[in-house]
Amino acid sequence: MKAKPAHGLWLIGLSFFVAFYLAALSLPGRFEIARPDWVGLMIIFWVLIVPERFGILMAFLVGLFYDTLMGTTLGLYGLVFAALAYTVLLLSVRLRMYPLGQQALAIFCLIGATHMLSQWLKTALMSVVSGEIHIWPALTSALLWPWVYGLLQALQLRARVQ
Amino acid sequence: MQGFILLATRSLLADWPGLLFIAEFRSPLIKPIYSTGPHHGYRFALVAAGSLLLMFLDLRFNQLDKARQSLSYVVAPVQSLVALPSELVKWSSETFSERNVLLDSNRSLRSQMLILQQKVQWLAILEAENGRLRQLLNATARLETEFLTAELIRVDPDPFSIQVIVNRGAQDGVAVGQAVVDADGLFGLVVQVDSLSSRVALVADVNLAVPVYINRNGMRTVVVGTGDLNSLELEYMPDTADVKIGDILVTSGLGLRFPAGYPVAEVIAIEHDPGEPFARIRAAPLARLDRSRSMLIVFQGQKQ
Repeated sequence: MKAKPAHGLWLIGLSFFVAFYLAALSLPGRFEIARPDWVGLMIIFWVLIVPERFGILMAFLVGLFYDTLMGTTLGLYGLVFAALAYTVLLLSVRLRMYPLGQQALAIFCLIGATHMLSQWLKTALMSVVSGEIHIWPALTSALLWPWVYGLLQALQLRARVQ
Repeated sequence: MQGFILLATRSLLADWPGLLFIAEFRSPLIKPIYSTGPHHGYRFALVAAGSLLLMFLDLRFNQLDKARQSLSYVVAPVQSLVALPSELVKWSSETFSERNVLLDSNRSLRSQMLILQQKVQWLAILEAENGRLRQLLNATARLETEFLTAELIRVDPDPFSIQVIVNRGAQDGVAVGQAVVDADGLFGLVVQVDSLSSRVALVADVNLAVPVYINRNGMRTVVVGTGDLNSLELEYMPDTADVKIGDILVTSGLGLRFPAGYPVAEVIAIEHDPGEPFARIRAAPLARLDRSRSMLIVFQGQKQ
């Protein structure tokens, strides 16, 4: 049995570059609270589609870069995104069966839990005073999921990522 | 013991590519139909332990700063791309503005420069006089300060912290703990340094407090950020304290964090509540926290 040769992996890198850009873009004050978790969405997508290429360790690496972008303690988002990838891997059989709407519901829970975890770690480690509104990013991420999924899947099929 | 832990993590970090190769690219050989199974659990436990260790090392020691700085090279293009639209607008407004507008601004800048130069002449005389008086009083001389100009690249996306990223980093000699001022007053504090950029917490950040004195009577106090860009707060001021609306707060240099003598804020509201042990005093920051694009990073006492 031979492993499939790697193909089109540049698309994964590109998608994360765009996600980092969207995550770093400054929004007008009120919308800042509801910024969708772009990087989290990308991790969920790639773990669902190519789990043999993009797993827990890659999510951890992406998290390290996210840490340097956000200025959080090195490893904080590494842990958070690795936990996200692990959860998605555990749920992946079910998630792939779900219709898009139900997937979005699951993503609402996943992103909400991710934000909660990162907030806990931030308050515990960095003694940062911050708010506790996690529902907005989770909600906007869930609402955007069908479009993100559709767009990325079309690109992924064209680039034959495997 | 600590040295051993550091050595172990370093070798682990050095082996990252190899580790990744084994963990990520060998697994398809097993060819699982569904990618669930015990090996994910082990891998997650390994990664979680690794990141907990990283966080611990990052918080306790500063050896990881180098690793962070080299990681930040990869993120730097994203940051410059974020700054690109505003740079473009700036460039185009400079390139396509009309000649007479440019001439006008040039003229006004010239006159402003004349005024400033005249003030500088006075400053030299005053400085000399100040030095003589200090000598008479047997006081120590003031420290010379040096500046590094910096431009704002982007605003921190975290809605709960008030931080900005500026375009000077470790390569320009910036270090954590340096004060940042703009044309009107104290702007903030460098809290993290990457290779090409650094992160500045503004004075309005909830996590920042600045030791100050009141310029009118020299009373020392501490001014604390509230998370609101237009309002700072004076903590633990007794009701009988001599504070008036319009008082200017100047950094006192106590605590050795901020250089002495920079204006920080102006008192705008004083409330005396008989039920509270302290007066509630609010002050507006003098630095234009929401508008300044260029600022100065202060080097003080580091050339000693």
